[in-house]
Parts: sequence; C-alpha cells; structure tokens
Amino acid sequence: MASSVLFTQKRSANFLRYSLITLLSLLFVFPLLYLVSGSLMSLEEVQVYPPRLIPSSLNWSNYIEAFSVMTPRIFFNTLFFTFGILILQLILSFTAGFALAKMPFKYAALIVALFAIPVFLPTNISIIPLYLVTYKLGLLNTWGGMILPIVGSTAFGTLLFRQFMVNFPEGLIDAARMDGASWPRVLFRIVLPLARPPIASYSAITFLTAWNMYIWPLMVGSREEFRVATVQLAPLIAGGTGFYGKVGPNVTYAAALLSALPVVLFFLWAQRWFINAIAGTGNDS
Amino acid sequence: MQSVATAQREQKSQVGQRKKLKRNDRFWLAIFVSPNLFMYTLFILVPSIAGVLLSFCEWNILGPINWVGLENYRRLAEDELLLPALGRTVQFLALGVLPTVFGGFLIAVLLNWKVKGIGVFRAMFFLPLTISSAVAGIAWSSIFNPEAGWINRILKIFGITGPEWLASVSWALPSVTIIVIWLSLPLVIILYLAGLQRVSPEILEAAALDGANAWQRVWQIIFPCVSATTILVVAIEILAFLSSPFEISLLMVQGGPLDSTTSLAYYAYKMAFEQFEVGYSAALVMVQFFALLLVALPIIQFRKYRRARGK
Repeated sequence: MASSVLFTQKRSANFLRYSLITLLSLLFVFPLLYLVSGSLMSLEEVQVYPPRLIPSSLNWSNYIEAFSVMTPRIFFNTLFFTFGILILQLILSFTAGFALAKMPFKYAALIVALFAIPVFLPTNISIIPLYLVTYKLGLLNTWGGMILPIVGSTAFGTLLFRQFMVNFPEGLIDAARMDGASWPRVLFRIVLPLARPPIASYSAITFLTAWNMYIWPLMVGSREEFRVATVQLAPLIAGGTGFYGKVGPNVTYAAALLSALPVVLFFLWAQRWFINAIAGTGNDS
Repeated sequence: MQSVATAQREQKSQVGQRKKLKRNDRFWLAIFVSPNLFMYTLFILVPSIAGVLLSFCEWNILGPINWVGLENYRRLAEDELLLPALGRTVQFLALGVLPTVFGGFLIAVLLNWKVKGIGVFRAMFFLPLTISSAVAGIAWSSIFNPEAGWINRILKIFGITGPEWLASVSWALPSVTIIVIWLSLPLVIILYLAGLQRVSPEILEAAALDGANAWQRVWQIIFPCVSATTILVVAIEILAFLSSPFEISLLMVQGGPLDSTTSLAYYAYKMAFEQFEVGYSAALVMVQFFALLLVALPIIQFRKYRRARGK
C-alpha cells in the first residue's frame, strides 16, 4: 500500500519534471525555432500582424535568395579563416605543450607562467595595439592579418596540451628515446595517436570561437575578399530601428540559418568533445 | 657512432640523469617552443603591455605618440560620460550575473536525469553556444520587435502593452542583458552538469527519507555540494557580462538609443575608434581593470582567510 502511494507520487513527480523540461526547452530555443519558421514564410506573411507561428506555405526560394547574402565566397572566407586559425594554432600549441611538459629545461616554469598573464588583463586593452602591430606589419586587409594575430592567442591551447602531456606515461617516451627515436618521431608517432581527446576538445572550442568571431575580422578584413559570415550578416540586424537591409526579414533569417548550419551540425556531431572541453576546465579546480 | 650515442643515452637514463638535455635536444626544444612563443609575444604580450603604456600617452593614431604621464587618469575625474557608462556596466552585471548562475544551476538540476531522450533536451539548451552574436542579433530583434514581435504579442494577450524594448531608452539595457543571458546559459549549464556528477546520490536519498522536499534538497543539499562550480561560474559570468554586452550592443543598437547601452567597454571602444583618442581610451579600459581588481581582491582575501581558519 505504502509503496504504491510512493510509486504514484514518483510518477506524478516525473511527469511534472518532464513537462517542465519540455516547456522550458521550447521557450529557450523559441528565438531559433521562429527563425526557422520565419525563413520559410513569404515576405507578406513574415511582416503580418499578429505574427504567425507556422508558415502557410513553404517558401524554399528564400534560401536560394539567401545565397546572394551568404555567397559561396563568404562561406569560403569563413571556412578559410576558421581552419587557418584552428590548424596553425593547433601545431603551435601541441608542440609547445609537449616540450613544456616532457622536455625539462630551466625556463619551462617561467614560460608556463607567461602564458597565464592574459587571464589577468582586460581583453580590450590589447585590441588597439594589436591593430597597430598588424598595421605596422602591413597586414591590414590580408589573410595574414586576419588569421595570424588570432593564432597568437595560444595560451589556452598550450596550457591544455601541457596538462595532458604532464599526465602522459613517461615510460612510453623513455622507451622510444632509448630506441633512438628523435623528438619529432616521439611526438608524432607515439604521443599524437594517443592525444585524440585533447585535440578533439581543443578543435571543437577553437572551431566554434573562430567561426563566430566578429570584431577582429570586422576591423582587419571588412573588404569582400576577406569578409566572413558574421561581418556580412551584421548590417542585416534590425536592432532597435526595425528596418531591414536590402533583403526582407524572411531572407535575412534564411541567411542567418545558412551561416549557423555548419556549426550546429558540427556541434551535434561532436557534442561530446565540446562538453568534455568545457567541463574539463571546471573539473580542474 | 650511432650505437655509442645510444649506449651513452641508455646509460645516462639508467642512472636517472635524463633531466639534462643535449645539444640535439635543445635544437628540437627551440623548434617546438619558439614559434609559439614568438607569435604569443608579438600578438598578445606586446600589445597588452603597449595598451597599459598607452594609457600614459596622448595619441590620435595619425600624429606622434606623446608621453603625458597621469594626464589621462586626471581627465577621468572630469569626464561627465564616465560615471554613466560605469553605471551601465554595473547594471549589466547586476541584472545578468545572478539570473544566469541560478537559472543555469536550476536547469542543470532538471537536466541531470538519467532517462531516455534527455540528450535531446540537453542539446536544445546547448544550442545558443553555437550561435554567433550576429545570428543571435537577427533572431532576437524579431522577438523584441515592438509591433510584430512575439514578446509584445504575448503580453498583449494578457492586456499589457509591452515597451519598445531595444528602441526604448529605459528597456534597451535589460533587452541586451536578456540576450547575453541567453547566450551565456549553455556554458553555465554544462559546467553545473559536470559539477552535479560529483554529488553523491546517497546523500540525496537520505535527505528524501528525512522528509526534505525537492525544493529543499535542491537548495540545502545540492547547491552547497557544487559550491566549487558556483565560484568558477560566477567568475566566468562576471567577465562575460563585462565584455559580451559590448558586442551585442554594437551589433544591435550601436550603444544607443541615446547611449543607453553604452557600457564602459563600449565607451572605451568609441573613444578609440570614433574620437581617435587612443591614450584616453586605454585609460578607460584600465578603470575597468582596477574596478574589477577592487572587487576581486577582498573576495580572494576573504576566501584565503576562511580557508586558513577552516584548517
């Protein structure tokens, strides 16, 4: 008797919890759901009052028009920018992270401390001098100027890989060294195959950050040859004025979704690595 | 030769003297570390230090850089726009940090449930993490639209005439805050979900048997158990609400209407890129740094003191 009361109590509690989660999550993603729905409406329908939730007919042609905003060129630029940063920074952080953990030398601790400095400085303090450095190197409106200054922020990656390498079994490296393997061989043949988890975590975080970066690409490469998705979309934001650019809100929504789609798909596919990367930073403390 | 070298190395390693690097090792060490260090120094360290030094200079980008000592800091005192901007930064923090932390915690508690299909709901809450500020700006400007937007539409059902949101001087700042909360929540939820894995189910069961209801268990047992996560999350969110409202405001309302969303970070940006007063802009950024230090130091000291007394 008592157990059946408990059981029904538990069942109604579970039902309550399910309903609450469903309601909250739908509310939470509502702005994105409406973006999907609005992107399929006709121009009249998307501007009608009161606003509609479901499009009466599916206007896929909005997406074709959206490709005139999110042109192949813009997609290419965003991909090039993102992977340029991802790959170059990965090589720099991975090798240095290894050396700082496994190749003992006098200044290792000093260099590790050096990488912790940006944590204490406001990010805004460096942006104007960074712009100046880029300008003095003649890199404004070049791919080098877009990518290299961001590649320079190696602190996160280097410390992440160093942390992984510190825990890497010393015996494996020693054995290979005794067999006469060179350091690059040790790094690429022995450590690299076992370092997939931190590399995946690093890549997930960096991919996402770089793809969504706005202010730096705006400052350095706003010309069309270098323009990335965020810079292209920014002028289409209605903001407080309620006025849209040269395309209607429905096409704007479609363009926004096109720009977000690669990251969302990538995220759903690699969700575990995102979560591990983020949760890992919390578990250290 | 080769075998002699190997034998030597072997011997050394057996004696346990591997800790000394050879010439060949030093070559590879340099190859591994110096490109990274060079890029980091050139693009992060030097600009950061230069930024601090610029706050003691006067410079309009085109002309020469003049050392003016503390002049920029003296000027802060008579800047009538500084206090309002600082006030708006404080408002962003006050309106944003606590809802993000407590909201994120409660959602994480709800989602920390091992049932079928929970992954779908988790993914829905993680989604804004993948969205750029530009896409968020597009989505939210339609939601906040005073006439055709959904918020005012729903308010109208309850007979309330909603404000003009982003177009209103008094509502633009809360609107920007809501968007930043939405963008920040996924990270908080992920961190709390990780933290919740360390709360032992036995304690919760014992509490349930003692007659504690769900709400009491959440706040009196689970919340204290994840205090380490809470400290981390609060620190991350303070930094987030110091910087993120700037990007959203820049994208959506350009600091307006009537400067109502111009935070200290935004004011410093305007000073540099619209007024071309780079030195004074750097001093404004330093104000934020010192203000943060002023808030953080007593907290760190207090924690040290408590920890020392605890042990």
